[in-house]
Amino acid sequence: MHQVFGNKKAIAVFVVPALILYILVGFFPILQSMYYSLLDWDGIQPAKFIGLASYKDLFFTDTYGMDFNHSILNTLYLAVLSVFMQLPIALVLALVLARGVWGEKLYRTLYFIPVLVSSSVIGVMFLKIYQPEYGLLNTILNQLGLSSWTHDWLTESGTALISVMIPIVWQYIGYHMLLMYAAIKGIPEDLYEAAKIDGASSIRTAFSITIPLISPILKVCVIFAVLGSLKFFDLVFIMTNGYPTPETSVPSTLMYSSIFNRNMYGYGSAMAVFMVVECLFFYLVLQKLIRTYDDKEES
Amino acid sequence: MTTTHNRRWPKVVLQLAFLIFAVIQLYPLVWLVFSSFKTNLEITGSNVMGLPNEWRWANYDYALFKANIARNFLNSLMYTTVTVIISALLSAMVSFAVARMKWKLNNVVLTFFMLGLMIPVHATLLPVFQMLKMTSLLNTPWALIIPYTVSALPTTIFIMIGFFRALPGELEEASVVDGCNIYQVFFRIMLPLVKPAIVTTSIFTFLSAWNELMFANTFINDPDLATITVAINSFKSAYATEFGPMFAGMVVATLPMIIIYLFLSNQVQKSIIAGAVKG
Amino acid sequence: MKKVNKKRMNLTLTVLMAMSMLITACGGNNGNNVNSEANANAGNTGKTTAAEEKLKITMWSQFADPNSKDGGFVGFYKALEATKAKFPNVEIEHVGVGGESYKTKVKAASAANELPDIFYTWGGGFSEPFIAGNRILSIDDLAKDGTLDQIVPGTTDNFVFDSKLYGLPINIATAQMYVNKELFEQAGAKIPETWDELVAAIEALKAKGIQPIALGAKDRWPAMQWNAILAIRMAGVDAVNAALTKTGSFDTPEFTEAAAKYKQLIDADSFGKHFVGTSYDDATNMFLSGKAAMMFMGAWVNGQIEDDNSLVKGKVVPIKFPTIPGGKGNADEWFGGSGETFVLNADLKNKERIWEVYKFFIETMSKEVFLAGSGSSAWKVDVGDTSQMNPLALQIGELSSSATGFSYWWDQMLNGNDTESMFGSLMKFVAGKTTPEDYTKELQSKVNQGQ
Repeated sequence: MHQVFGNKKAIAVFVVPALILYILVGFFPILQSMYYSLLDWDGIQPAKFIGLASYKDLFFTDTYGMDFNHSILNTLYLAVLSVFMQLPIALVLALVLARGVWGEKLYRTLYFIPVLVSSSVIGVMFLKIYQPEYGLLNTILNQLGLSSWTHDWLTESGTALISVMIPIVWQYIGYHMLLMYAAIKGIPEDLYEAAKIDGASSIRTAFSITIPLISPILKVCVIFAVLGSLKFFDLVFIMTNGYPTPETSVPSTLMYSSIFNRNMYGYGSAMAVFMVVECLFFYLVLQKLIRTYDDKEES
Repeated sequence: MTTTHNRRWPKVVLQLAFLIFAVIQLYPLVWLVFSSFKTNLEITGSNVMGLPNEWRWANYDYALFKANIARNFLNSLMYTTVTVIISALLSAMVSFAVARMKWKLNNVVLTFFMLGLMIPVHATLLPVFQMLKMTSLLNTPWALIIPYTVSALPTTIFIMIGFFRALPGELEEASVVDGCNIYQVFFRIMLPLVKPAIVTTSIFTFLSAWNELMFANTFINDPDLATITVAINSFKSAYATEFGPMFAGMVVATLPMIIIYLFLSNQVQKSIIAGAVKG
Repeated sequence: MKKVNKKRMNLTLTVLMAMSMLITACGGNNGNNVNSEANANAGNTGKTTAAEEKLKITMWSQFADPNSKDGGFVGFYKALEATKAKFPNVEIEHVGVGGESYKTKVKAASAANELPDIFYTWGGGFSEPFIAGNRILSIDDLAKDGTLDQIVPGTTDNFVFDSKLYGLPINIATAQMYVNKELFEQAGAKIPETWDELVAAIEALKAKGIQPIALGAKDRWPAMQWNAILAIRMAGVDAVNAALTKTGSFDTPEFTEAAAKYKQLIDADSFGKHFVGTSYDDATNMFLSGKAAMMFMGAWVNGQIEDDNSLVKGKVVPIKFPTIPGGKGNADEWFGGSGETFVLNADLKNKERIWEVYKFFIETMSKEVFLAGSGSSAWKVDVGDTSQMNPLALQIGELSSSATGFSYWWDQMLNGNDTESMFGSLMKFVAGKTTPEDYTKELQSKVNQGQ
């Protein structure tokens, strides 16, 4: 048995093709960014080697007033929202849908629509919802006689961050729901039948059978949610582009602006490298922290 | 839910909650379709959320025929399909090797692939550009298919490993006893079992490749090879965006995704039943 | 960039001349000028066209949509077609990329040295790294073939780096105040020529419940325009240009007073209560649908105002920005100039042949953009029949024909890094987070820190 599953040649056949492509187009850019991050380079003229100066400026001096540290906090906040709001909602939806509810197929389709409609549409739509003059939100508040509750949602410091994050958290509920749904559907039916005979309630079945069995996928979802939050870009870019700074800026928008608007390739690359290290840190911590059902069995 | 009297009420409440949430989730699509028939003045103020004052088919005429979006549509379809197939196959192979085979470096290789989840995509633009230039792939379909495939790998592998790990071990052991070699175990036994994962990840790969704009804009110059996102982006100008035609183009770009999603998500269901029979 | 200031004077004087030429040429004597520019060019190209092999030229631009009604786009595509027709042995492969994506594409291609033969760019700060990195061909020698005599002097300022010329200008774009006459009549307000009249008009409009001015500050650059024109009125174009080219300062009493005037307008709700959260598109359409009475904006909106879908068609008049008593600037100093053009790749083969194509293309485009109503031509050309032209564009041409000075868009004069710093300080200021004094101090320290 061990010989078959330890077959070195077979492992190579399975892994090497993907590895080659990945090294060339995935890993090489990371190395390249690390190198760029040590340079003072505008992307065109000959570069000057400056060592770790960009990193020092990023975290301590902040010459350009970007407040990178604050943008990191913003993404951590987003990560917390994703894990403790988005994922639970997705899990409940997936559990109820997958265990059979009238209209399962229809709901499964409808709930995924925000993921299917591209972020550029979602972004523009929310810009219209938040628009202070004629936006849906302020219009409704005004009609309810709650004019004092209206805001310039995306530009006032008090409301900007949460206003940006709600659409982000909302859009990807369907994404995680689909993952969890597929995992639940993969659980053999006979396991549930045993539970039924025992007279277990739906909620107990969920906690004692379903959730432990899909724990590898839940772990995937948590890691995706956290890493996705830490390097989140598109909806922020579309809705506020990180303004007002630092209320809604995230490391990715600052990186984009450093590279493509400010022509500071080295500085922006330092941000990119920091994000890789930050994500790697959280990835490893989460891997240790979340002991899945599967891991426990192995150890 | 198990209380004996009033058993119906929770179900009604549940259905109502599901229905309300469904309306919320459906709204972006409805909004997109409505907007695609509106004028700029409606979209930027006078009528943002409701039905169009007048159904302006001219927006579709503009997007579809004047801008010749059909060719871009076919290009996108081709690149995306090839990307989905290659990345699904490569990821399944890696995931199987990491999750089910016994070798020392498997977790190192996994973490190595996971690095791809961590790098912000905009920082990769220039390095990938240079790599494509070196390999003379710029301005060919491969200039998009390869980066799209590679960016799909980490996500897909990570999801698939979860599914591979969740499979009971007896299956493959039994098949080896029956005389299957490792390739047969992979292709005949395991692949069918992780079909829900393959289909699910294919949806995600399709979505992100179909919507990608920055690489598509930068690595392709030939208008005959451009993707649909590039075509839609051309409705943006510095001082006056044609919102109506842009949204019409987006409706055209969104439809295939909905169709593919419907098709594939039914496959998830079917494959489970098929898998159960075989298992 | 250091040479810009002296040349400003030239621009001023000669634009004045050229514009009056244009206006008078518009009158009637176009009979004998039908093919004038074609004839003019025939001499230059005649020696080369006959037995040449086919030449392929690659060209990138931000003009991605051939069906756009934007004057710049219309002018570009007309010029492109005319150029293809005139040079049958030349095949032009054009790639248009919309919006901000164009800048990303050009920057990436430039870093990888994959730029096309001809590409669209912005003069001043945007082009600086391209020039310093030897990506753009200096056309100093090429332009000595008499081309420069055909160009309105001073319009090349933003394309001159270290006394070398890198691009030919296309058109002169100005920002002006657009006034909705109908709304002014409703409010009984006088079309303002001075600051006090402007303030009075704002009060009158507000009393009628009409938003005085449309401003979409969420996109940042519209907010910059108001700061710029107020600074031009208070400090004068020379002081503004000096500050932008790091030979002067933002931290002067005049700049601070300009910011104070801006704050006065903001505090009076002249831009409405929500201008910080309003985008450029929203603000423009507020004006186009007759909800706001004034807008200070570049000439590119001419087409939208006079479009059939516009609700203010025929009701709008462009005016010079009001003067401010005590300010050093006068009513004939303008926010605008010439700054967007195409440049040639530094590694060009077939320089001479492409130069002929380039020259013809730019000249034709400058004429076509003018006819399409998006800014005056930077070339001393007879544009021919102007009877079909956008009336706003003609009026603006007349108004600016007496111009005595120009100061160009801040976000193009400054380099990328300084532009972002400028926007950062500006947005804090318009959101009321800094005082006029602190704002101008911050501008000076952040934007002009190199001094």
